[in-house]
Amino acid sequence: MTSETLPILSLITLSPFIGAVILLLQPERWYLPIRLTALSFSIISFLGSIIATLYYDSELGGFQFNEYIPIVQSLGIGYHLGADGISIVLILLTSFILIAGVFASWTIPFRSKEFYILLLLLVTGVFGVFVSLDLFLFFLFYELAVLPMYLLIGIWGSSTKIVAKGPFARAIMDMGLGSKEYGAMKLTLYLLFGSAFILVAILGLYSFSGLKTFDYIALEGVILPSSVQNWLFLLLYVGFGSLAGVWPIHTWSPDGHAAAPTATSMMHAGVLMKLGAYGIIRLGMGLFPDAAQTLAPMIGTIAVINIVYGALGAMWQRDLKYVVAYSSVSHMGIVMLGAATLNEMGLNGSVLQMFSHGIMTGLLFALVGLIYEKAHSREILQMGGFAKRMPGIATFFAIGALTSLGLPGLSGFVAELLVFLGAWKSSHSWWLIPAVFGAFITAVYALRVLKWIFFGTEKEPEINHKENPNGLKDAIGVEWIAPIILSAVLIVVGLYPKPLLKLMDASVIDLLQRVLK
Amino acid sequence: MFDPQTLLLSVLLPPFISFALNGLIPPLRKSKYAAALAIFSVFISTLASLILLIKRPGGELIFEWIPAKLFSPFLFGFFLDPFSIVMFFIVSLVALIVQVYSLGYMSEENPSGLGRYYTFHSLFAFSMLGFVASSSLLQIYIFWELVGLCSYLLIGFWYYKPEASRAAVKAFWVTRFGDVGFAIGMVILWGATGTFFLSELFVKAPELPTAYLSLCMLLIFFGAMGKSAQFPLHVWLPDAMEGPTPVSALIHAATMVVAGVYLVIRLFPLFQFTPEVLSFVIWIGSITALIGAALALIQEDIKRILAYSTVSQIGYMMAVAGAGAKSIAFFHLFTHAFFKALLFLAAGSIIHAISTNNIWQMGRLSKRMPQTTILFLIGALALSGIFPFSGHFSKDEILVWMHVKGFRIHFFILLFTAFLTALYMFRTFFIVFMGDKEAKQHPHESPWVMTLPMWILGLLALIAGFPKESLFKFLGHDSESYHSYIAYLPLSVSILGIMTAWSIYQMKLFKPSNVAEALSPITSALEKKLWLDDIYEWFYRGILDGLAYLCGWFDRYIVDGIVNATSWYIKQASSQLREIQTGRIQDYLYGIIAALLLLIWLSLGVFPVKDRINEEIVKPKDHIQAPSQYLEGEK
Amino acid sequence: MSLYPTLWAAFLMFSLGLFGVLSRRHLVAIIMGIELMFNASNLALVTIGWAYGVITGQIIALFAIAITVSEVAVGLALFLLVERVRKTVYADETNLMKG
Repeated sequence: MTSETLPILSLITLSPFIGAVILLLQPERWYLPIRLTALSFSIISFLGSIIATLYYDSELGGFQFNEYIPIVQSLGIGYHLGADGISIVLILLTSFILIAGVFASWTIPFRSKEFYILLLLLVTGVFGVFVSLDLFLFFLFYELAVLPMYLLIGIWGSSTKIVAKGPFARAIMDMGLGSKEYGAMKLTLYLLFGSAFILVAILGLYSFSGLKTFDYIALEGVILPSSVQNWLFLLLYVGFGSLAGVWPIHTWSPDGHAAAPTATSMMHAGVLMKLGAYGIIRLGMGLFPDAAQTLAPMIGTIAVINIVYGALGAMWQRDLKYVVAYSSVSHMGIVMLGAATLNEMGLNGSVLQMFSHGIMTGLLFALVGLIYEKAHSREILQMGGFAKRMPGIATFFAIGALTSLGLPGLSGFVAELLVFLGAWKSSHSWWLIPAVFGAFITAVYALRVLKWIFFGTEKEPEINHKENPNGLKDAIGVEWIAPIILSAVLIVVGLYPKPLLKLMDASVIDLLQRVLK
Repeated sequence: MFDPQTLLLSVLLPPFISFALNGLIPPLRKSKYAAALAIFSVFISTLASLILLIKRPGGELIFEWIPAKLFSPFLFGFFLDPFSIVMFFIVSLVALIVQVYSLGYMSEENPSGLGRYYTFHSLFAFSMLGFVASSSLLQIYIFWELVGLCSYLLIGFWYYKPEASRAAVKAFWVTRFGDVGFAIGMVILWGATGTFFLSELFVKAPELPTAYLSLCMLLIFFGAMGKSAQFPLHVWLPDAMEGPTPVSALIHAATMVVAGVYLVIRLFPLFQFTPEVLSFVIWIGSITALIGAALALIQEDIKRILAYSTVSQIGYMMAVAGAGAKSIAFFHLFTHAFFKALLFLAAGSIIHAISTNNIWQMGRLSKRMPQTTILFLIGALALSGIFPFSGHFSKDEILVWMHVKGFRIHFFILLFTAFLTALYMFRTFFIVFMGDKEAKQHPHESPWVMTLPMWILGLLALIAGFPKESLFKFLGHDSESYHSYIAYLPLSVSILGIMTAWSIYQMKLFKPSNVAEALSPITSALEKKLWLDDIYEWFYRGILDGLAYLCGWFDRYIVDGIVNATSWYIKQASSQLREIQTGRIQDYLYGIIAALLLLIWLSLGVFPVKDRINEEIVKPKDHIQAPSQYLEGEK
Repeated sequence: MSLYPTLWAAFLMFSLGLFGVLSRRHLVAIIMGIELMFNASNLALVTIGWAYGVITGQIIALFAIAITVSEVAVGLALFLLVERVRKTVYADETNLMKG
């Protein structure tokens, strides 16, 4: 058996880290070796996650591939890894995004070594969060995943000019809205703000449980008084919610995503926002089941606000990256709504939506990056008729946009459908109505953006001629790889979601039975 | 070899394979083999569906699509029943004819564009065939959306034309708006029955409270209204004429737009328990028939005339389906598919020859394009319901049924519509093919690759009405023979319509503008398309964009503004606070010493300390008590 | 021999050193003040160790002396550097930390 002989989860988690260390030893001028090193260690993780997916016994469910090494026994801290169906799906997502991200940043113009090091470190953190079964370790990896973002955005990001209005215009302008430093700082501060809450919740659980252990499995057995549960759950909700883009603490996400370089946006919207949702589902629902049940109405209602509000926000934007970023806010609402339904359909849909949205938004950000590289603009209204010059990018963008509006045959539909079904079956059936209308609004803005950029008469951004004398072209060479991988996943999962759903089903039911008893 | 499952798969799979190959292999798509592959695949489908039509087997394929433990898993499947078999035949045959025709019509397209065109066509053929045979409501929805996607892609095929891309998006939005209803209805129907599988639904759904079931069916019918261009969601169909004409013939006349009717037919076992919804369906159908015909009367674009005519004819189908005769609706769907596709292809042939859509720029085409003229005439006669053309039989059945079942008002509406139908159709015919003035361009007859498909359709439009009895028998409809004056009414009003058109547009007995003036409130309303476009425009620009503006503005300048204002405040406050940081080392030392003194003072007995070893509370002073002998002095 | 005179002496030395640290501007004077405080605490350690009859105090004092030596070395080196870079040896002119 592979799972007993090979520490597969450690392999997945630590391979990018080792890659980062090896990259440290390479000189900056080695253009290709740097990329190949990053790629090969990503591929190791990718293969590892494929193996884990294949060997995970979905009939059995529960945490498998367990690894345990005690670190500080007196405090109950240990290196405890394990993955259930939900984690496996998200690991798979992460490794897809990682591979695509490595390819998407192939043409990064400067300091590529540092870029890849930070990217790999970040991914280590992400993998670590998904597989750790020790809250201390979980938090450690969580911070590792959050912090490299600051540098990635601050150094390689891009700025735009935005003029602020409204009652707080002065404050907004003083803070420097639109610049990459602003985006990086805002994102980091928000997420650190969130992780302070998480830390408090974890320490609270540690002391209230009285077990003197951070071990997830051990803490699962503790049933705290419901008032304590409620408070700790709320802390976790605020903490992880800030990462998951929960309204109204989502405003870091558009600015952060817009400022970030391509691979970072992909990683961030694709995977990091899922960390938040995963945290709420895994820690929140897993450790505080009573609170999850009590607070589900609030979570669901906020999620519905997220869906509609995010979609309308995206509709207002005229900056391509902001549109995609707001659509992430809207889609994360669907994830949270699925979690709040507290039934099999909804929760399955929620996890599948995490996967599907991760891949989809990765695809969209990769394409936005390509468009930006060709046209040197993100202003939607300055573009037009690009489909003639870049038919390939147009096709992939259409696939992304259609997934985002929930077209059947693409993975977004399955996830949204399951969430809708779950919403109707939940205690608050009315959630269904705004959620479906949110999907309709998504159709409006997604197709509109597609039309503005790619169809109609040809237009070019004005600055284009100076910076890009060769004009607009379709993607070439290695730029194709990320869109191809990601859209293939979208289509395959959309046509036949059964394997993926089967993978998570047992774990989801386990979790539900804890919550509902 | 000819077992039902194999045949079913050989209908469904070839277009999918063609789509997959063309879609995944760009070199193939850009070569001339793309078209060949697509046509060959749909040819196999046609053959297989012909065999199915002859052998008429039943059969089913089932597989699991979404697993579930606490709920019943979602099953998908394809099944054969009379409706799906006949529909297979219609879809694959018309698709084949249209794809062959497109070889001529789209001959000026570059290879990669043509490849894209045929790729979309294959996807469409697959989705439509899959839709027809779906045995689960969810699966119906999936294929429903996929045909919508194909419609979007093919309307916007000439994406560089702003009107085309606009029309494509509009078509998608409007049908999608209807699908919001469909989706909600489907979900809440599932919520009550726990299954999407049609055969299970038919057993479980009748047990539901009528009001609940009515709500579900009303919402689902809302989707059908969008897809089948029923009033007031018909606005996308005329605009959809921006797409290539063969596409309009296939998708927006013969197959996709009738999906809504097919859905009503398919779900009739559920609809029959909800009389209120059915009467709503009849009303919508009749109103749509009337409005479509009236709007067709004032159009100048030949394709728009045909589009409104399609809207109107689908109204007929809906009305009679609502009146409980699903087989008659299906029969009209059957005949309509052929003659309307024929009309569109004939229109395409004209447009191909003189490259304009405006009927006033055409004229006397009968001399230059005799074949097209005859074919258009066949189509027009069939559409007007003249014996012995196919449209006569189906339209007759519809009107008789409406009369027999006592839907008097609807009967008269539809009868009047039949008059209007003949009027607008022959208005077009006389202007385009007869007329006084000759078209400016020098039109020529289309190549055989275009005329041959049209002749096949013409033949079908001529004879499709005759197998009425056997079709009804196959569909399980007991056709009542009914002889009275009613049976002659539709034919008479149609002939009256043709006479009227002849007298106005051919003989110029009186001027159309005079009639228009006499009916000025109606004509001005029609010219404004009943203000529907304005209403939707207002909904889109005003409501949706307004809400978006509100949300976006609120988000960036209020929600985020508060965040920024907080950090700005902290920044300002800290710039005051930083004065403390003098940078002089002694100032820090004062702080350290103050803190040290404070600690010493605290340790001198303010707080009791717990002795860790003896587990008792001790006063700090006891702690630091040195052995007394040393304190006393020397010993 | 009584404990108090020695402890009083240590206290005085410590206060003198503290006063020196707080009032002097010259870096070398400050470090001399620190030295005084160190020695005061060494004295106190030795005394109290003697009073309790344990040797720990003396040992710690020895350690402290060794560490003080290295600390002074590091400190003086730093001051030299400060003098070279900032061209000053006065504590209140080396206020890079000023907010």
